[in-house]
Amino acid sequence: MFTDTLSASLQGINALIVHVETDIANGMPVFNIVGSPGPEVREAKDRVRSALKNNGIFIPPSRITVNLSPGDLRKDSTSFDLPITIGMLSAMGYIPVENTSGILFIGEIGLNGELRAVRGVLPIVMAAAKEGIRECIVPSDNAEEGSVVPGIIVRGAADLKSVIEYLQVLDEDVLPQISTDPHELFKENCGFIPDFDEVRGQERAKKAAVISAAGFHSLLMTGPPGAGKSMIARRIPGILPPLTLSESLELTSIYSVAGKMPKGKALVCSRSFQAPHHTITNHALVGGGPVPMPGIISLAHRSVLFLDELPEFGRDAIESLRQPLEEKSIQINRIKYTVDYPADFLLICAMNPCPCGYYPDRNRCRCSENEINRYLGKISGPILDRIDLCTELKNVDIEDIRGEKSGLSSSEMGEMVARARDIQERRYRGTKYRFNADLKADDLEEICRLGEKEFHLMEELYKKLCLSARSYHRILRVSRTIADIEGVEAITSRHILEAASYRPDLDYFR
Amino acid sequence: MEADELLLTHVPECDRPYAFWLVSVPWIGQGPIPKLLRTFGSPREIFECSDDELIKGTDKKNKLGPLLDFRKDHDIFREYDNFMRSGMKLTFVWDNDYPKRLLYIPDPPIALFSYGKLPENNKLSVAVIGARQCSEYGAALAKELGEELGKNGINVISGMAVGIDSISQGAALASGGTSYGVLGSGADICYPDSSYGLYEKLKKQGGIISAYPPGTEPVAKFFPPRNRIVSGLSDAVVVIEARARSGTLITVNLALEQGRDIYAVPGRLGDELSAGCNGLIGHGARVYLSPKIFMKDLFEDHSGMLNSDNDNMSFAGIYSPCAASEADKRHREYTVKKEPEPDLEKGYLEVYRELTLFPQGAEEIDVRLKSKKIESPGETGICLMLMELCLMEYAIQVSPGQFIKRV
Repeated sequence: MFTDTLSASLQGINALIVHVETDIANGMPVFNIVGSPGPEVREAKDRVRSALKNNGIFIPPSRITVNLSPGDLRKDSTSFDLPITIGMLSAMGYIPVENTSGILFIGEIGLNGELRAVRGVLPIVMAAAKEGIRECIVPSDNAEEGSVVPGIIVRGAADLKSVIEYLQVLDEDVLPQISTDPHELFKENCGFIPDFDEVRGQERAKKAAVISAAGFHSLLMTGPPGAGKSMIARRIPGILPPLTLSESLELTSIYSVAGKMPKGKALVCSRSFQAPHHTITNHALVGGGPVPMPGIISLAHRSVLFLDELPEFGRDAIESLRQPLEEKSIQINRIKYTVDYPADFLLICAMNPCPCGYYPDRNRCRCSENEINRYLGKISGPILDRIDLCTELKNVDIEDIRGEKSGLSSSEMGEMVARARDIQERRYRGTKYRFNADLKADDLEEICRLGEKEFHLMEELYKKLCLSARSYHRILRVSRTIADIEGVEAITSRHILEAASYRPDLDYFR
Repeated sequence: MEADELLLTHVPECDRPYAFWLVSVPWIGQGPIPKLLRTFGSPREIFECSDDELIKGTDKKNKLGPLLDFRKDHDIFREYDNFMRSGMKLTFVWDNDYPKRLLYIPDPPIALFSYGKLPENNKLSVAVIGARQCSEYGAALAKELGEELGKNGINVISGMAVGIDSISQGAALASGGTSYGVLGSGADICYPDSSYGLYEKLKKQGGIISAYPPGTEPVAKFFPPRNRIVSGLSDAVVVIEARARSGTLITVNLALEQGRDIYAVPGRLGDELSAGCNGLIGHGARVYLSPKIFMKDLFEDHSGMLNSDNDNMSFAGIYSPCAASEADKRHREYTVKKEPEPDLEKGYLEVYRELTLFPQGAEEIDVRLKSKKIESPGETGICLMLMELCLMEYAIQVSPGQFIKRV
């Protein structure tokens, strides 16, 4: 007898519906799985056989063929265990065939019949909803994650037995529908991010952080060890505007596909802070592997990617950031297919100004000119071109540490960011842009319109500071953001000068 | 001690290949040459002696090896010919165009290999030396001094090293002056690599000088003898930034032996990079206060030399150590006026006054203004003013958040 059960396979952060066709015929007793199964899927037959045996179900000695259609799409997931089992059971007549129609199954089965969590439930349920599928049965550990998708019934099952019981009579009480309100989840789930008021002094660096968060400008901080570079970076997610539901769903999809969902959480509700160690390989950073998995930069989507000790990172790793920084996503190519993972991250970098960390304080720094040049030279070029802001931190005074003045707090800084974000949202509605940092040269003139006086100032800056065309545009973009933070339309000389003081292309880096 | 009479005996043109042979091997200082000349006479006579005779005639037996090998392995006439075609100049101590100042130092180099010119005898020359790893303070002062010397037609002599040396030489050339680089390697080898631009410019607008034959690699032991030529070619030595133990101080000791005036740029107490300079001042070196005051002193001390049109005037009188200390005692009056403050708007002037040659950020200026009870426009405000001062060319941004005063 022949049956058709629904399941799905991941393609990047999207999912494709897969038909699991099962045929039980007379002949030599074999169990074949065809349709480009990966090793995980091929192993399914042993898991399924044992799980059925341990649940007291006898498989008749017959020729069993399972086909995963479309057949040319490679399937690498243990989530096919459940649909294969259900397909077999209905082909054996154990479950009425009509009861399985319109239901999508995913889940890994243990030898005792227990259902185990799998990766990528959210994108699969989303794809199912889009295809008009009525309901999904998923492992109970994944049920909450799947249930945030509207317009589809999601049931969580703890073991194979309950799924069979449910399908035999379609009794709602056996597998109740899990329903969650994503908005509710969203409210209670926000993680803890340290506050900026713990950063004493460093007024300029904090302002740079605001500009960076407001216009999505990448930021480079230099300074001696212990000045507070990492401390500032760690607090930046807290001043970015809270995630919207759609952003959260997008992030959850990435985390789910990567298998990085925090335990017991159905949604990723706060912006993450990804700080990979400098020994990271470029595959781990941008994504890759035999089955392309999202890298750190995709986990930092809509959030902060912090590269501490920038010059220590491998050249390959840094270079591989170029495409995602331009295109806001990363393409990973395999011979038969290409996956696209979103990677729209805010790049924050930190570095010591020289190998020992104390330059230009020549009383403490004993590095030779060559050593310093070699050190700074490691980051020169293309990556420096993509950094909009650069600021230097100095060691904090003792008065500041003791804390008379704590300066801006995260909520105050967050307000500044939100104001600038609002303005940008209104300005860029219906255009290809989202933030000031994305502005391309041809639209800059229009959006960063300068008055007579300001134009002369830019001209003077261009000549006296020996700017390049690129850094000219960079200053314009940053001054646009500074004006937006203040909520003013016209860019004034003050904004331009402030932007210029953060320019990264000093002689220092050459 | 004055140059050996023997060294000054003129060697006829046709004997130059023999003399070239004597200096074809890099000696530290003079090596065995003075002894050889004293024992055997002219270079030609030395050449005509057998190996054994030569070894017997010097007490530095084991050091003659390379010289004897060279004679064995090469045809010195052909080598000399090749050298003459290489475009490099060779000046012996007995030649007329040999810089006169060097004749009055202990151990004058027997030969100078050079590109470009050699320093003129009747033009003032100043050695500007200092730390390789200099601070912004040192760099700014070296640039200022180099420029002023260049504009006033005073030669700048230095060692082309990274830091103070190359900054002052570069500034002198940029302002249209002349400068000479004395190398611790062969004159055909540019060391350090990073000074290559300067090296090429010096060839055109001054000279590259070395006591070592072409092809000599820069090795640490060759540098101290090189330093004696730097100071020997100069009328005064200005030290900008030196640590308490530094190579610069070796040059200072040699300069003192040669009776040159030492000027040290004072630094802040506790600043390691100025410890050497402050120590020199403690030991009686003259204090460098500004290019103008320095040049005024220099012209006064060397007026005799400048007024004489005669190329063959006596350097001995000026350069004996006792003459130098005599000059030191002379009372000096500084009439140079204080630089007027730039015409700046209120607010900017206060910030400008806080700028020094030591890099500072906006937050430090903020603290200082507040401690002086001056109303501060806040860190961001100060930063904007500093950027404007940069545009008005009163300040320089040296690193992302650090500014110094422009001199």
